[in-house]
Amino acid sequence: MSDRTRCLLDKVTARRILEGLLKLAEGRDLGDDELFALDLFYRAGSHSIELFIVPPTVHTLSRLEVLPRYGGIIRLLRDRMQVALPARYFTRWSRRLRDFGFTPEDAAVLALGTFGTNESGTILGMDYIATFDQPLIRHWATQQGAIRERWQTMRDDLPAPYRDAPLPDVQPPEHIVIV
Amino acid sequence: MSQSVVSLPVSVEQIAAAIRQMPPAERKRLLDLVPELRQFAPRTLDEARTSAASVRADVQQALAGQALSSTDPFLGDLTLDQYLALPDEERARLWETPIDATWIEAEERDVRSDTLSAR
Repeated sequence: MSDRTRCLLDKVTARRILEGLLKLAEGRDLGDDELFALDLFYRAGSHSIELFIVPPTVHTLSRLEVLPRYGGIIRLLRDRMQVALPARYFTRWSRRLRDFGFTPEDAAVLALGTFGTNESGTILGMDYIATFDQPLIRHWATQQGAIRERWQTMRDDLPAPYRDAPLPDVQPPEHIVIV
Repeated sequence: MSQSVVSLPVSVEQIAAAIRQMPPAERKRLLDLVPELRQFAPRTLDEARTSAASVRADVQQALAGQALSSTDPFLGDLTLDQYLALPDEERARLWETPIDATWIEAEERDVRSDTLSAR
């Protein structure tokens, strides 16, 4: 087990952090979502928490990083984040999650929470997925019993270390606690 | 996944279900009885503002004295000013990328046998 809390940011949460950073740079007022997203970003820099982003977020940030004015801010963001990549069994689990009514995009992010790894393949899964998507949070919670049952059935057939992959907790940033 | 909690004949899941059904006053009473739970309480806006103030210093350092200009090009053909003035759905649309649909089919990679699972 890892001693650091891992948190995958969905695209909107990563966007809120960047928009918050840009507003800070310009001295603008921040909305509540931006404040809570920045709070998570700050805690990631000062506590034992690792932040991950999904591949499409990396794509957008790369487009911005080449603009000279924003390079410094994008690097500040990227320095505290790694990209989560699909590990073996990601596709199988993602398809099963779709059976619970999740969209393909949401199912993929949720599946990265279980079968996501880093560039070097030294980790597996996330403790949290951070999202502001309340319907997604509610649906994940209400389906939890059935999802766990499905996961239990699937994991029995998997080799180590995949059978030890976690089901993540899906929460808004302000509910993500670091213990 | 059911695990017994110390010597009580209840599971974590049963306790969680009971807490979810508690009215706010009882939840507050629970926090008074078990103050350790406060570390799990949601972050407050005041805490978030304090964090944002700390991040501001990092932002200034990242800018290295080169202030942003609202008229600089940002995403799409928009300036930062124009981008930030858009409704959320339109900003989200600007974050759509060609790989939104394709990364799901990306090749899976093996993890190391000594990999660390999340807690």
